[in-house]
Amino acid sequence: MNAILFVFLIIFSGCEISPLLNHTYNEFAQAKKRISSSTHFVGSLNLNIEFDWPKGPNGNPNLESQLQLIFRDDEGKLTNLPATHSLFVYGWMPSMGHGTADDGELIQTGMGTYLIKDFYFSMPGEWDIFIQILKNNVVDEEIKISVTVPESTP
Amino acid sequence: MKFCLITILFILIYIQQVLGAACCGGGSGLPSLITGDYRGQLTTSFSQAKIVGEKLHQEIPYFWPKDKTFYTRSLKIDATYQFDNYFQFGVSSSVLMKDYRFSNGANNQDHGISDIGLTAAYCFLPELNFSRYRPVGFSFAKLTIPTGKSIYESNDPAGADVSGKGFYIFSLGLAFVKTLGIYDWQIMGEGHSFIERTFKHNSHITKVKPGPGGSLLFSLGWSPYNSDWRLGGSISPHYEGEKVSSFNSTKSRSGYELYWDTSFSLSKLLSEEYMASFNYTDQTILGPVNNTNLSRTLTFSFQKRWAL
Repeated sequence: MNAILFVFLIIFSGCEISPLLNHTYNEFAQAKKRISSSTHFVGSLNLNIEFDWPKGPNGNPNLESQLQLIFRDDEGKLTNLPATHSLFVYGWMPSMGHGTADDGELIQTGMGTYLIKDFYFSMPGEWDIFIQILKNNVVDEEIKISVTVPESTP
Repeated sequence: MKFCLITILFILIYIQQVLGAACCGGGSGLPSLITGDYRGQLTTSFSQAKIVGEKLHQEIPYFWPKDKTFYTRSLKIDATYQFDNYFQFGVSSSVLMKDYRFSNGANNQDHGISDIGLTAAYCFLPELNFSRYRPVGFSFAKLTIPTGKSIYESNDPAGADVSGKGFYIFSLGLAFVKTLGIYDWQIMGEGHSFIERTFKHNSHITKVKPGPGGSLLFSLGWSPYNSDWRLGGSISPHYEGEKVSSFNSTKSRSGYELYWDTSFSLSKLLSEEYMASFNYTDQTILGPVNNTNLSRTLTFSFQKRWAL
C-alpha cells in the first residue's frame, strides 16, 4: 500500500505544471510573430522572392488565406519565371505531422507576381510553407518559410 | 463474496470509463477486461467531450474563447467474452458525432465510425486463494484496425470528419486489480507501436511513421458502507511518440504528444446483471501536456453481463 501511495505522490507532483494552473487566453502569447513579409534569394534563378499575406494567415479552417510571391532581379525589377520553370506551394505543420486543409490555387497576377488563393490552414500553430521552384517539372530549388498562424488575422 | 463481486463489477465498468477523448478520433490503448467470474459483458457508453483548449508544441496551454466550441459525442459498444477462467477476447467500436463551432460563427459537423479494437487477454495471476496483497494479474494484446477516417484522409477543413488514427496499432500490456475490503485499486500499463502507412488523398501522397507510445492507469475505488454504490478516481497519462512524415520532398518530425486523463466516477450496481455509471474525465488538471487538445468528457455507461 505504501508503494501505491508513493506512486500517486509522484504522479500528483505533476500538478505543478497543470494546464489548469498555467495557461493563457491570449493566443500564442509567447510565440514569435512571423506573419510579416520577408525576402529570400533564389540562387538557381538569381532572383529575389518576396512573401506577403494579402489575406491571413488564418488558423480557422473556414477562413481563406492568401500568399503573394513577388520575384525581382538584383536591380529590383519585377521578373517572370522562365518558361521552363513553374511553382508549387504547400504547407506543412511539423509539430503535428500533417498538411493544410487545402493548398489552394496558384495564379499569376502580374509581372513576376504570383498569388496562392483559396489556401486553408487546418488549425492555428507553427506552420512551414514550402515553395518549390520546378524546372521541367523537377524540383530545382525549395524555399521554406515558417509562420505562426493565429486563429484569424485582423 | 457478494461484496467482492459488486466491487469487481464496479471495476469492470470503471476500466471502460477512463478512455478520455484524445485528438483526432483517438483513444487509449488500454482495453476493457473481464476481471471476475463472468462469461461475457456488453457495455454501451454515451459520452460528450468538449475541447476547451490546446497545448501546441513549444507553447503554453491556450484555453479557447467560450464561443469556440468543439464537441465530440460518441456511442461506444464494447463486448468481451471469456472462454475459460484464463482467456478472453473483446471487440469495441464507436460512432462519433462532431460539432465544431468557431468564433466567427462557422459550423462544421460530421460523423463516422471509429477504429475497431480487438483484444485478447490472459489471466496469468489468478486469485486461487486469499491474499491480502497479491492482486489478480492480466496480460493483454490489442490490435486497433483503422476503420475510421484519419486526419490524412479528411475532407473537412476543420477535421470534423476525422474519426480514427489511421494506423494499425499493436498494443501489449499488463493489468493488476485488487479489492481490499471496501477499497479497490487497479494498475494498468501498455505500450504500442504503429505500422507505417502511405496515404493517398486529393493527389497528395503522405507517408507517415508514428513513433511508439504508451499509457498507464492508476485508479482507486471506494464503496461506502458496503453499498451498491462506488466512488472512484483515476489518473492516466498517455504518450505518443514523434511522427516522421514524408510529404512531397519534405521529411519532417512532429513533436511528441502527452496528456493526462484525470477521472472521477460514480457507479451503481442495479442488479447482478446490470450496472450504470457516470464518469467525468478532465485533461486540464494534470500535466505536463504537449502537442494535444485538452478536453473534458462526461460519460454515461450501461453494462449487461452474463455469469459463467
